[in-house]
Amino acid sequence: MKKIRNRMMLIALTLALVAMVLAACGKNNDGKSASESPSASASDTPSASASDTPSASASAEPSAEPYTLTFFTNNSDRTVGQGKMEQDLIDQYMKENPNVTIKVETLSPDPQFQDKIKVYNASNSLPDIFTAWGNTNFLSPLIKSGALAEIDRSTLSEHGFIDAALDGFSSDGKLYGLPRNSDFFGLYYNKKIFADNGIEVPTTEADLLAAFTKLKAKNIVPIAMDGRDQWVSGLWFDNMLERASGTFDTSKNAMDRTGSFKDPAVIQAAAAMQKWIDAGAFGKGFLNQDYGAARNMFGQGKAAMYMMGEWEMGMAADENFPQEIRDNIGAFAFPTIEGGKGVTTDLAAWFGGGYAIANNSKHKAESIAFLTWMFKPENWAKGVWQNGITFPGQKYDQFMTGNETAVQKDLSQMFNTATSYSGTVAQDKFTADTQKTFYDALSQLELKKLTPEEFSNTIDGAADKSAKASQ
Amino acid sequence: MHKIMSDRKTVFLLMAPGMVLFAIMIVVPIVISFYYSLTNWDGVGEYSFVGFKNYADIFDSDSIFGLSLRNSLLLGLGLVLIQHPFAILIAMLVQYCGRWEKLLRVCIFIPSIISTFVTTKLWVSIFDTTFGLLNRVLTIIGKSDWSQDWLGSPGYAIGCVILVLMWQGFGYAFILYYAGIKGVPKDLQEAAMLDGASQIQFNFRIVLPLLTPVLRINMVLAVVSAFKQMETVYLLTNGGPANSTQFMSTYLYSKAFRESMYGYGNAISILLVAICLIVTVIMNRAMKREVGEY
Repeated sequence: MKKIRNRMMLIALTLALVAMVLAACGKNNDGKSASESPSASASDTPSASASDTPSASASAEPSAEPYTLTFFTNNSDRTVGQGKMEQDLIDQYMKENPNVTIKVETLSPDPQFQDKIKVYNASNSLPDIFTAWGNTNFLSPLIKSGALAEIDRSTLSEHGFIDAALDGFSSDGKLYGLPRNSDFFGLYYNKKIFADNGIEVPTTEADLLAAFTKLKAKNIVPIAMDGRDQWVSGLWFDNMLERASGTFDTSKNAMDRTGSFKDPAVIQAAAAMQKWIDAGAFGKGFLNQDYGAARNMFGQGKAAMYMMGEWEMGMAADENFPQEIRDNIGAFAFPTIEGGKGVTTDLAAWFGGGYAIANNSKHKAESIAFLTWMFKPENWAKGVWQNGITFPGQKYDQFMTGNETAVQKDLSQMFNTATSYSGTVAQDKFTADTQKTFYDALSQLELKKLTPEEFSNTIDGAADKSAKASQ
Repeated sequence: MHKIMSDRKTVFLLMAPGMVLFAIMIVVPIVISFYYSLTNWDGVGEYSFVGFKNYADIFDSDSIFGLSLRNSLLLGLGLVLIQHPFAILIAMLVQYCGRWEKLLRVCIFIPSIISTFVTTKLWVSIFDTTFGLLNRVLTIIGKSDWSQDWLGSPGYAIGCVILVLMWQGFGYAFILYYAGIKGVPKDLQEAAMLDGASQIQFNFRIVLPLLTPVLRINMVLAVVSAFKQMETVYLLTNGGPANSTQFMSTYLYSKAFRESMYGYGNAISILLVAICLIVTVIMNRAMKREVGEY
């Protein structure tokens, strides 16, 4: 008992500290945010005082009485990208429903955001609506402790959600959140470098290896690779494993222990990874190269390709890069590998970010109603696509304008012609400590300190430990 | 005065503020850390007591802990056996540089006043494989086959990390010895010269023994800083590649904050404190030798 009280004290102190720091930050702003921030405007409306009325939660229909919802998001910048999209929709909703006030709280980067969610959950004061991720190590503890409200999937039939995207937020057939974007992995390439060296977009491993040779002769790094952050290598491994085995189920089954990473396809994929490295795919020294360095290498034309997710499609508009390169960025799907069963239309796509609702929210029905409205196709999906922000987790082809950048079109093509999607990637299914084992094994594989066989045994051990820990 | 100091109550009152501060800032955190090191806390959820299981795990099956301890010792040896003798030598030589002395003194100390972040990132770009200064120079002088993936291959990375750390700490070591040498009275030098001692004899037979107190404190500081080393390693390699440059502090950070094993991380931090204390005591004992007054 004393232990718990101490912990509560600690949490309270931490929160007080965070609040103080945030308050101090707010004061230093140039006044613009203070007057325009939604939380400030919320207190101006008369509805704020009535926010505590418990009657609202009783009815299933959103009531006409004034009420306040709290919205906690990881998009701190409310003037660009997803943050602006959220804010625009929130403002619009409050305008259409004058009795509703939505208070926004933001915190980034993600690890800190997730820590605060844990603190909120521990002190039983989760915000009504908050950013959530489908990753096992984030979502399943919350679901297990009954912290999340269930959303009725049948009410979303008009929304055009991709099934796999909703599955990412589901557990035991119940839906606990709505996905806001689709992430997927591929290769960006510099069309000019390809043309100058007579390289066609590779669709097989042999094409790609031949391209490496040509590029290396010209002293161009074939693929810019962020080797320091092992999650990139993790995604690379997922792709290679699928290309070897022909299905994303190999990894899925290995993680839920209906299968195993001691599969011959794992060894084949790991061997292919080492083969690419031996062929000089990433140049020298990629293991200590970080995200920014790799991105820059591609953006400045020092590398011909860049292995990264769709979220970098904004490179085509990044003014830090020369115009000539920005105009020449394209993207293609992972090529097939030798002896593998996978095809290029199998796409490693997952649905990471989204929103969830607190189960003990006083305005659960209202929160669900707002979220359902926010994700109407003409709201979120149309907005994020037409502003080039991200790929929604919903169908968006009806919103194509034809003004998309070349790379946006390439990516869109990859996404829409995909014949299978991976769903949550392997690394996100590990618990925190076994994820580290998985990452360490990957870098040892890349360093040739592990043979493909040893690698497959190591990660199988990690998957086993992870599955046992999360039971 | 003597009366006041012999009154226990007064002594206690005078010492109380310092002791309270010491207790709050140092003793209490260590005790709390020890408490958590006996649990399996993940930083958020419920936890239970596991006794000394974390410690047993560290000693039984954690090869990376052994590696990080080895790296810390290696760094300590590097500082004591390479950095400090070199710093003493330079401090002695700077004396003879006449009007350049002040300029040299400033230049040698500059790396110590620049933010660690900046100097570390500087070295990261020097070591860069493709675009780094080091490999470029090797290529220009026609030794391109000597160029390496300095921070990306386990064998070289640890050497590079230790080199950078020696370079960063050099200014402080130098300035302390330099001050010690400056403190040697001029009449000793005059007496030595009259007795026909050469400059070399003077420096090594007279100045060096007189530096012992400085040397002692510097050695202890060097070894403790080797065990505590965190930010430079974190920025240079973050313990990679494949844990080959993991030091005790980076390892405990990675355990606690990347792997969510707060209990385990706390156990490592308690061991770190214990090791630092033991090393300090041993070194103080070993180097306890009365030095003559001057």
